[in-house]
Amino acid sequence: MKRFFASLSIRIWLPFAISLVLGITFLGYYYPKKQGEIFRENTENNLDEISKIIALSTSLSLDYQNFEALSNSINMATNMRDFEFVALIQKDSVTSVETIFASNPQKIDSNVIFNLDSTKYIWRKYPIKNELINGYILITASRFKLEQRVTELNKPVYFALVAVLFFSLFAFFLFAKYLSRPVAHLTFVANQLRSGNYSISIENGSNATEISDLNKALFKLRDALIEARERNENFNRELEDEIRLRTNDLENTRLRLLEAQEVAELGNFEIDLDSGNWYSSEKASKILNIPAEFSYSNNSWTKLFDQGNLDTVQKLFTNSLDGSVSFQQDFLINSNSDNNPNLERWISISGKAFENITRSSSIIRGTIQDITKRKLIENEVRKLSLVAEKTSNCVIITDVNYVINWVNESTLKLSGYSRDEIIGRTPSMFQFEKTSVQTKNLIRNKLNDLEEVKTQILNRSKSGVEYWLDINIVPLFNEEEVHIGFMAVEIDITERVNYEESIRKSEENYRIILENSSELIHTIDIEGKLIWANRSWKEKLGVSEKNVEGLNLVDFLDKESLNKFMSLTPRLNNGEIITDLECVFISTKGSSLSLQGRAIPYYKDQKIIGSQAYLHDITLIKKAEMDLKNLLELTQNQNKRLRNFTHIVSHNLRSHSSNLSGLINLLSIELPSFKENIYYSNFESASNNLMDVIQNLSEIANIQTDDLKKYVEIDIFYTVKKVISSIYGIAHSAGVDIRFDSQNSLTVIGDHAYLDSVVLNLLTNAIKYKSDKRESFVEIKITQERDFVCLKVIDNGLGIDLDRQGGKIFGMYKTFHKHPDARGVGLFLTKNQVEAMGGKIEVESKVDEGTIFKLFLRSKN
Amino acid sequence: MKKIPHILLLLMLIKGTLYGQTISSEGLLLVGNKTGLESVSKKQMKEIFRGSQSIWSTNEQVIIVMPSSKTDFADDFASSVLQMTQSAMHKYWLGLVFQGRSSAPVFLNSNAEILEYVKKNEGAIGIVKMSVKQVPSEMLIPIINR
Repeated sequence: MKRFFASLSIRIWLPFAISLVLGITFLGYYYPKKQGEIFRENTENNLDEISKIIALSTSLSLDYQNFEALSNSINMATNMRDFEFVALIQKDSVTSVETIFASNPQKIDSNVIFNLDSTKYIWRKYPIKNELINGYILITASRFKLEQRVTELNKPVYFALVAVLFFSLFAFFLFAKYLSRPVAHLTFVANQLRSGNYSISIENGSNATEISDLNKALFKLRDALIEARERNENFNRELEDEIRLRTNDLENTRLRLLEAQEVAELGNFEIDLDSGNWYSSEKASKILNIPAEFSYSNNSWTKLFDQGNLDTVQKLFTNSLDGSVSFQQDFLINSNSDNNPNLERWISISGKAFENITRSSSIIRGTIQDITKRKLIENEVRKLSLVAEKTSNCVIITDVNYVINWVNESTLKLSGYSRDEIIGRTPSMFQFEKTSVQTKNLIRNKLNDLEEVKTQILNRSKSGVEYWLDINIVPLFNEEEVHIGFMAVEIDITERVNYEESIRKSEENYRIILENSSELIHTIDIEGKLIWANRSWKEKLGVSEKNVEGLNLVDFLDKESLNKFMSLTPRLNNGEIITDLECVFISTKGSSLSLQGRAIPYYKDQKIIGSQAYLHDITLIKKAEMDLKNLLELTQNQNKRLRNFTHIVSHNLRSHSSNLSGLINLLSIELPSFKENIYYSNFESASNNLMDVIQNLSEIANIQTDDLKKYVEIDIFYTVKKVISSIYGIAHSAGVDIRFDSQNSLTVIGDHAYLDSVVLNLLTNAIKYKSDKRESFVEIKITQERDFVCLKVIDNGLGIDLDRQGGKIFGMYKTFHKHPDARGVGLFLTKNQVEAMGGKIEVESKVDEGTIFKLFLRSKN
Repeated sequence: MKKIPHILLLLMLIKGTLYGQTISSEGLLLVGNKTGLESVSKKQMKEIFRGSQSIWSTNEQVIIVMPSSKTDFADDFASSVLQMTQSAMHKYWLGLVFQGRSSAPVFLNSNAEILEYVKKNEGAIGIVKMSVKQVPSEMLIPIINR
């Protein structure tokens, strides 16, 4: 626009244009205004005339009854283009109050008529006075309509003026162009010269002096420019050669830089934070995995980071912008790799904010480096450091002179030294007089040759505690394979060494024990050849050789044992343990040895290589067993004969005793005087006693021979209750109180007759040997005691002097009180019956206090 | 048959009481030309001469013809037909014409002029003071005396 107004033709044309516009504008304003004034004047004149006519016609219509004239004059008024209304105002002759007599149109507001607005209306009044009307005619025209008419009238004028204006402007513009053409041509020529077109022809477009001079100046200028161009071309050629050389250098430098960036995984970026436009080098794009179609505008780089990293990046940018300081930060980013999306990647972003002077915008320039490998190595190193620091093994690192420069916590803990006490010294500080010199020499020699050392060494802590270490020392080298020191990894094996020592001692003890054991112990291989035998084995079997290795075991077995050995060997070889091994060995002197024991497989390295036998000499036992067997057979034969004798005796004696009793009875019947004989009663008593003795002997004999008797389950409570009821009368007459809680139930294994007899015997004994010094009682208690049911019969009777009679209390015909019914058979019988049922009987008693008999009967459970 | 004259006489008497050719006391006759009116009542006549009707049923424009003040029955006309004075009538018609509510009435100076004007102008209606015989019967509009 500025250039447009600066052109010569416009500068010529513009004053005219402005003058023309002002003139036309004046005309456009003044002419309509004048027209309006004329119109208004005419209208007022018309109103004057018409009001007069209407007043006259009104008078005529009244005076001459000619209303036609009035009608015509009214029509004339209403036909006016600007007409608004006409009114006949009547004025009261007395009060001068004005009223509207008539108006046309009819409905005109009186306020409008009597308060005429000059901005809206032009009006005229004309007085009228006759016999009927005294007032005036008011006729009004609309200013608006009038102005409309004026405007309509002026419209063509406006159009004409505008047409004249534009035509004039255009015509004069062409004229101005014509005037300025020579100058434009010269300007064109100058531009052509400026653009290097020196061959352009220069026309003399005008006779004007100034332009002619300008033409000549341009001619000279063209010649000068042509000459200057030639010089410039030469200079440019030289300059281009120089630039080419520099460009090549620059390109080479750029390529080297790119190569360096590629190697260093380094790319660069630039971000205009204000415009949002940004740039990243090819390498940076590759590191950030930016897609090819990615837009580098609207700060789209923010989409490359997750929210956490983005916050950090923006904070770094802000800080850099605020302080114009550099920044550097490592970031963990997603790999965005299709192969492994979870792969961690690390990048390092560094850069600085710059102010763009021309645009006053904020620009961040910096580099992005892929440091994933470095981070991985750092992590690995950190982990290894952590392992070395936290491992339970001791780790010591020295320089090439064995001076310690790093130890881990375990070393400090084990040695008891602080880090300051260790760093700077050599590992020999842990060694002492017990440390093996041989081991120390081994270590020294190996390390001098830079070889790895694995050995065990005894060290001592600061507090004097000795400890064994399993050490592994390796020489350390840097990346240039230069030896930089040693690293020792040490495992505390003190417990293991101590354990091995204890094992060794234990093995020695066991070996001595086995060697000196009275049992015969030997170890054979799978083929039956002796590997080892202890002293007892060698002595018993008459082997004088110190070493039995190689002897064949089968040479020491009798024929029967040999067969047994052959059958047992496969079982042993299959890992089976033989627990009931019994065999006969033949010593080198020819004597037989009966041996009993067990044999177990013999392992080495978890593989069966033979068997081991632990045997004891049972030769004497075997001989005793044989003697016992012979004795038993003899006893059994004697018992059998004795039982037969007992039967014969009891049966024959009973027959003879019965006969004897019968004869006594017959004699007393036949000879009644015989009863009066002083010997009769003695004779009868002797006969009865003989019968009792025979009966008791018979029962005892039956018990002794009832080995195969079948025992049954018996409720002991029921049995006791039954016996008590049968002797209740006796007890009552004897004044003995029997106490028994019969509410429980316990089952024993036994025989009904025996159990009845035992209980009856004990209770009648208690009643029989009651004390007259006190109220007598018998108490029965039954309890479960493990596998037995214990039945106690407790009385407060005469008691037994067990110190004197204890050994005979259950003997045959043993009585301890002078009682007429005492026979000395009851307790003997009771004991035999209890034992026959698999039980036992015990007694506790004190003279004149009472007695407790305890029966232990086999419980069902 | 003897009763027919009597019946005719009775009818005439009845007709005489209901219809008349003139306004009873003043002897004014209503004349018209193509007005379509067969007869008018006094009230209807009053409204016609007050300019309330502008067109006849024959589509002819109403032309009111009235006697000017120079006639001798002008006052009779004003008072009997319009029930107002002659000057009031003039003032009334002045208002009507001024307002454009009615065409201007024609004031004529004699019965003959009125009769002649009515005869020549279709739609004209006027009042004359004449005998019935002087007025053509086709122009005469009977006035009902109610």
